[in-house]
Amino acid sequence: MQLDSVHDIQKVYRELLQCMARPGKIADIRESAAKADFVRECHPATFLVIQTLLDAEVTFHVLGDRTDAVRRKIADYTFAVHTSAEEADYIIAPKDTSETDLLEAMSGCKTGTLENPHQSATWIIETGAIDGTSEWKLSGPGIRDEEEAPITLSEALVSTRNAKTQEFPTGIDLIFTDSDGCISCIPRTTAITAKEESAWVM
Amino acid sequence: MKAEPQFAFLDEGSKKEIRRATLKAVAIPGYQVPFASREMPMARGWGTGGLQLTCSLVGKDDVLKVIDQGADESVNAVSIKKLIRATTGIPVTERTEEATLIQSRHRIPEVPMTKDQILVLQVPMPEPLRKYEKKESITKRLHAESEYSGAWLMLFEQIMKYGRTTTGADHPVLVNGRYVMAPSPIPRFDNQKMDHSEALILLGAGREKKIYAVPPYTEIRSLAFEDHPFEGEDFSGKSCRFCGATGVFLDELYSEETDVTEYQCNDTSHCADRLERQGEKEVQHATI
Repeated sequence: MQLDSVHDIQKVYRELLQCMARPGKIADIRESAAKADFVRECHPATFLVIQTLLDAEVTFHVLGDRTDAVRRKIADYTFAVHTSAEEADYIIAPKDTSETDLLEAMSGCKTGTLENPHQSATWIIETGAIDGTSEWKLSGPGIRDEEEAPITLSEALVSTRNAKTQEFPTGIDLIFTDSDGCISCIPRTTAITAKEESAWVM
Repeated sequence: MKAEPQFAFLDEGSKKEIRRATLKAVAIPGYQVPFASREMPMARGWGTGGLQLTCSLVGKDDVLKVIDQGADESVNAVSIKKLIRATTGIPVTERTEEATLIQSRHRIPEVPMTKDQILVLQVPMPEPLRKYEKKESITKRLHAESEYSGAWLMLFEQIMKYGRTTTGADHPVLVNGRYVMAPSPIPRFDNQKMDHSEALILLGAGREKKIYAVPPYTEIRSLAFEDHPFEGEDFSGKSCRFCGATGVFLDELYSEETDVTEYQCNDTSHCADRLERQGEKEVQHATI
């Protein structure tokens, strides 16, 4: 079946919105992702998120080894403009991105200003299975008490991300996608802590 | 030949822009994200911000409820419902429990909302600091610096003059300990419903071109002083003249002719629902 640019995208957006509002929630967009089977360059779920958010008014940056193919695909479909990782509104990290590249781009990406915290980068990261298990726990707005981070995150990634979100309201928001058509989000307000150690009580 | 209207009125490019702003708003609770407010077939100030949010959200599986100051059948609510119906074909409802999307002007429904629902509030004046600072460039800086002494001073002056805060509706709140936010002109009675709400709350101001949000389970504290704690409207000892409800927001009706003050539910669908259930009970227990 053909991807419906109105209704499939609306469904993806609603899932994405609920994920952003409820960090740790796993949303299944498999049904729509199956219709994006013509996409070989990245996960169909990644492609759908990109289709939902990007257009000619925003800029993006693609990391990884196969940058050109992914970049062309995104530009062809959304008319968004490719730019450097420092300036991009959306940064896409395909699954083959090396951690060094990812961390370097993350340390350099924009976080917005105190006056305009919305002018920050949103990350779309392709990850292994989003299955609800990890050694991290999440807390903050959108989470009742505590929630398990649904994805495996390396310690270096968590510490780089935490450094970028230190000065709220500036920060970065992360969207994770997997090959199964699942998505999950970690916005800047979420505290990521290791399961063993309890959060610092000041 | 009649052309089919675009689904949910707005073109996809506009929806995309509103969606991007909404996601940022959810990620930065209480911060007013600027967006390019579209021209709607309705005058600005009549809920175009809320309507644009609803149009960007709505899908084929949604059930919509629209309330205007507690009423499902007022002109504003009816025309918004008509527009969404005509452009999407989705069913509308008056029952809060049945709705997946609730657009509201100046009230939060009495029936507690669930995690599967989204509440969209229409906002005339999104800037809580506007009353004492006219310039947007300056209020933006005040928010950036978390400099809210003006908001406190405003409440302090009211207490000095009248012995209590006189905000009535739209009493400013502190979101997640960071941003002072206008909760839209909901009565103070409804402020507490925003605190750790199960449902996601989105606020849209069409004329002022701002979108902001309160994610679920987020701390919302109404601004108040230690020796002057925040108080909602008090309806103790009063009940609805139709359904007898207590502990809900009541409208006060004064009749000059009879010099009698009466009270009735402000949330009309909640009242009608209660009346219906009472009617059923009466029928069940009727003795012939």
